[in-house]
Amino acid sequence: MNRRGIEPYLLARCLIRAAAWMIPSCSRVDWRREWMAELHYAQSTLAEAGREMARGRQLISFALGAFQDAAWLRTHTWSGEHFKPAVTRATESPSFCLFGVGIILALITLTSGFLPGTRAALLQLPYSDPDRIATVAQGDTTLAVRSGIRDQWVRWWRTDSHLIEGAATYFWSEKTVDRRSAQVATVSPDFFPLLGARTAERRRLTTKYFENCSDCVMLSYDFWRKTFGGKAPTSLVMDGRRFRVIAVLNKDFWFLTRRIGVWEIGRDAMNRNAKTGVVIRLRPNVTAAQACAELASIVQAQGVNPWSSLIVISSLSTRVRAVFWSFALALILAIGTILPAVRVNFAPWSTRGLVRALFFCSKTGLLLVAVLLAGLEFTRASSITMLGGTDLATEPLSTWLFLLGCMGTLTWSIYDQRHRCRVCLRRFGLAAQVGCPGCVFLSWTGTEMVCLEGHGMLRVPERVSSWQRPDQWMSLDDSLLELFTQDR
Amino acid sequence: MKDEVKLTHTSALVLKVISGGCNYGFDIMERTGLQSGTVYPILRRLEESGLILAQWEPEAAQQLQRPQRRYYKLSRVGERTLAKAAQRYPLIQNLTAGEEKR
Repeated sequence: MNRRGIEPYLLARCLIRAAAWMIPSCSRVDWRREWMAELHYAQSTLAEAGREMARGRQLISFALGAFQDAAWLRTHTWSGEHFKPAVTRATESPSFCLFGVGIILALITLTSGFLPGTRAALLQLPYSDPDRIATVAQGDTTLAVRSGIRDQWVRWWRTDSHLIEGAATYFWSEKTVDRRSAQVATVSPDFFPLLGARTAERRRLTTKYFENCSDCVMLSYDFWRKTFGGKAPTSLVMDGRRFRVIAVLNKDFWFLTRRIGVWEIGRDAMNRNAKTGVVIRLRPNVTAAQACAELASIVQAQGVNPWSSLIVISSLSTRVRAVFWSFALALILAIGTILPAVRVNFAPWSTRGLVRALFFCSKTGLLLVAVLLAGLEFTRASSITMLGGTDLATEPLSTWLFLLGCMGTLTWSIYDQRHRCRVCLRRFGLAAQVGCPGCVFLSWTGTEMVCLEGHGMLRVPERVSSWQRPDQWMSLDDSLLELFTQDR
Repeated sequence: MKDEVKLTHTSALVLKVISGGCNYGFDIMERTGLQSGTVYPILRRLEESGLILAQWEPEAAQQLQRPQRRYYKLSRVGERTLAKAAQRYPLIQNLTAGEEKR
């Protein structure tokens, strides 16, 4: 073979190899093998026929045809006839199920802004000695109701209490800030010093900071970055009034909700009849129960009847993390309700049983985590009222939503597991109605589903009765595998 | 159902050439004068329709120090379809007449 003949031949081989990338991987090897053999034969035939001059051009022309062939095969493969079964087959696999659950988790993470509520509940609160910070609410005939405290009571506590270091007030509302809507908290001047909050420059906010401070506001870090692009404004207009910006709060700072953008220091925010949220700092080694008793007695000493002076003190750390306990309770209730209905035989002592059990646990565990995160991020936000308390509907609602989510997740997970092959864990296909539904007491009637890999068949009766099993799994003999290989 | 496959003139020509004993893609090209980019997709289509059957050469071909080739032959359905196509395209018979198996 002379040099002139080798070069077109090698080029033609390269072209065929390049075209082979267009072929679906499952048939690529055979396709390339056929084209290489044909090219070899073409090269030999042309050489034997003495068509040396035209040989190079013809080999290249021949190899270029491989692109047309590959393109035809590729478009044919992507036609609905082949594409739809391929997609169906992919969606039946257990890995697709886990992938789908992963996508749900990723969506929750992204839409919530990387799980701020969950992170806040898990990380330490951004206050000085946070375990001594507590919120105070007025109780009612039902324990679920938490409402604000009368302003007059706070003044009595400040002067008469020996068990608390201080009491600050807060409430929030929606206002227009520089022509855009924002959540604004109105807090008493001792609010930030009581919490031990810090500015963005890490300076501790003391009472001196707020002396002679009329029409002053503080900005939350995120609000400052979004609204002012990181440039510190000297003032802003809120509901038509101009306020002086005295500082930007530390990036980690939040209180009950992360939606507050502006913190107004309001000396005249309180009046005698208004109800407000109250946060207190307990003295060291004072329990919430002791403080509760003392604060109630102070109020009663001023002439308020005991029934109206019911108050509830909740440690802020406990309150933030209490969500996990209420959700854990809901989870236990859901599992306890579902377990009796579980008829899936995992047989974890065998390898296949172990794989099935692992798949079921992974799928269910990830879904429950997704429900928990969704509950933390999307329903808990609505359970905190404007005064930082909770009302009759929202707190139980979020727990009930989580409970329903757990029940739904477990029910679907068990249903999905029952409709998967006991061997390869793929979803069954080719569901067929067998028998006559009207003759349920005379003969078996129900649905038969087959594993498309040929491992077995599941028979699900139309109605569950005492004389037949709810589901019946039948392993198929290996001799029947050939019937299924054509569909693969 | 496969008896009802409608063949184009070119496909019928390829089918006729295969029935004449040309079993390989390059041979079909040589006999019909069609380009490789035309012949091979037609072969795929005919194979998928069940009109031709494809097989790899026996392993013994490797002893000849050349790669195995994929050869094609008519199926029974293909023979019936070709008979019908010959009525539809009478010139095909003339085009390949006298060039049956070399």
